[in-house]
Amino acid sequence: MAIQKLLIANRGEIAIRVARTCKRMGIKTVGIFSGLDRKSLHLDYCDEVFSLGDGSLADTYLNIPKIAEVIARSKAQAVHPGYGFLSERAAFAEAVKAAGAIFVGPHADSIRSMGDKLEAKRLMKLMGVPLLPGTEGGVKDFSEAKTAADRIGYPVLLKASAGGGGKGMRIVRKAAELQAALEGATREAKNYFGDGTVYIEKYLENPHHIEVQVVGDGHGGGGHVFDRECSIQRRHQKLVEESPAPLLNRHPKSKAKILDVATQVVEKMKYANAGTLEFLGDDEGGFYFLEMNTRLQVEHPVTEWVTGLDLVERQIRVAEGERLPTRALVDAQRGHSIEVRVYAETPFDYLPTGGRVQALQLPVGPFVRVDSSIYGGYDVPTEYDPTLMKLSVWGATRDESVERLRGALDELRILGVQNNQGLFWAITREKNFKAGDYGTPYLEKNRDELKRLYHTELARLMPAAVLGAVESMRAPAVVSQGASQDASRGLSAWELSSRRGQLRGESS
Amino acid sequence: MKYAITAPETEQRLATLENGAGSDWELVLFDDKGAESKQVLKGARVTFANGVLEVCFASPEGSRLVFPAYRQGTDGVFVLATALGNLRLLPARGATAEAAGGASSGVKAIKSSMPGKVLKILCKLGDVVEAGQPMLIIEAMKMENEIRSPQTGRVDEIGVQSGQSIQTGDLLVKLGKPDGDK
Repeated sequence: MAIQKLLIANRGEIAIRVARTCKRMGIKTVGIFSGLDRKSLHLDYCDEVFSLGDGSLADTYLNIPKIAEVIARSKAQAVHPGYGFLSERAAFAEAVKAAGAIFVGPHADSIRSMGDKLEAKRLMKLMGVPLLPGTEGGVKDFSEAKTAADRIGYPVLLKASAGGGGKGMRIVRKAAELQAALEGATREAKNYFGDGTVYIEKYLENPHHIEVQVVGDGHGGGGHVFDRECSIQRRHQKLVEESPAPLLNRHPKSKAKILDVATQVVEKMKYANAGTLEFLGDDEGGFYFLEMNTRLQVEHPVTEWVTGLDLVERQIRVAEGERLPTRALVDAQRGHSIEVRVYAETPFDYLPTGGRVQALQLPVGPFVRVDSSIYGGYDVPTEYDPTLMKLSVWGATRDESVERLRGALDELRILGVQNNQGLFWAITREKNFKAGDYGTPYLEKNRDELKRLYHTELARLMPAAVLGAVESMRAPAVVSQGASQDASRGLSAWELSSRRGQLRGESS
Repeated sequence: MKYAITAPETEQRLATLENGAGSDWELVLFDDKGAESKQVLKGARVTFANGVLEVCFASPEGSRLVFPAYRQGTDGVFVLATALGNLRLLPARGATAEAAGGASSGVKAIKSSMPGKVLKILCKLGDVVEAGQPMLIIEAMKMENEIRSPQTGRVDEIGVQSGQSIQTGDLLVKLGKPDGDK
């Protein structure tokens, strides 16, 4: 069935991303928004918009009955959940179906089984996917934990079965530390997730975060859409993502194997729609299943750059009933792509910021893509996640894509909201990153060098900054009038540069 | 005329700028370790209008830097957007007086470095807190952030309530000497 009207159950950049593909495909879109999002840019990209009222996340974007009501009122035939929010709630997939619409995502049982980490591992093992050595399930008591840890070999990692985001997690380097760590992890798991179950697995010293994109048709057709590496993370959240994965480029046999495994999972699970198999990789090319995300990922643009696929279109086609042959969706990756997540946070301490965007200059030019939902005059809310934009680039080689990313970051200006672009400025000039040689401990390991690079550039900018500050003190005290003009919504980089031209005319 | 400027979020703590002959400026930068570097900015031309800062240097010839910039509020804070993010500069007098006063009297006002919501207050009036001890939890961007005491001191004032929304710069806690008078 061809979908003619689709509800986007999300906000911000991903809602805009989905709306763009729908527009191209001639599908009408229905947007939703909370009271805080009355001025959110995603509303401008939808054909119809419905308020979810004021209130917390639970009252708005996570409120299944309210969204089901909008499905009925708008007569939307399908719902795209984006990522986060309700995208991995089996109950939401079922509610959408009950409301008579198509859920653009996997079957509810796939969401449910992959949402339970232990169940997901059990299923993956049955399908022949390599797992990190560890316990099959939660450990009952200390003596069981001790036996398991001795068998796996130290260091080991204790993890909450129902967990995520680093809560209920402990690294144990020797047997003597096990008891206290087990007690702490159990307590935290009980407090945060209401379930004290803790399991044990091998801890890798320099792990890599490797993942494989898949798309399935729900009947066993479909397969992998190649790999990504997302090892640069802070607080267990990704900051930099690339495709192909540098680690797998060094281990071509592992690459062939991991991609093949992913296609087999799609076939055996009869997986429907887009998903991602996440793995831990080690420096020897070993890889171990971590979890499966049953949705579109934040970092999907890098896959789109190197495969030429519009993944949102693929999701919609499959949801409409398209059948696929059981194999990779494309034959090869072309070139290299890197994405960075520009967050409203300080570059080195990751402290949340926020505020009003006073002026915005986005990078443009060949092979540069920006997925953003901010504009001049926009107040960045502190109630949602800190993403200001995703900046991604393509290059014929990895080196070329790093160079291009440097250029794009040099063009980016977000006035009024402190953000982490300075961290990326440093990363793209740091030699280990340039060599593609990094694991998840990258930011801690290279902190001093990254700060040194940052401060070298800062010293270059300081004279102009100080001269500007003095000049602004001498100027008549008309507070940020120019800035508030820049803040007017819809002012493009072009207008800004044309006014700069006038400025040059005046001052020359 | 001599100007003193700080950039509090960077490790470039203080700069002084003095105009000498003609359009030459002498700039001295002090980093957080007190190290000092001096440079003469020959023939710098500066304009700040319509939200754009433009600086042209005579040396090297033709060099020019341009940034979107604005004045924040009325207390002389100047913000420019660079490839490193935003640089916030302000006249040094107030800032250094506060830092110096704080250091000598042992009194310290802890202000929020982020907008968000006060989730929990972990100290009460009259408590003596140790350096590094968590005093509040602030929720912002879906994350919990512990605000720890920078020094040993007595809680003389709590400027916020649990559940309250706060802005950057709001007073969280005022610390006094552990054994001093208020």
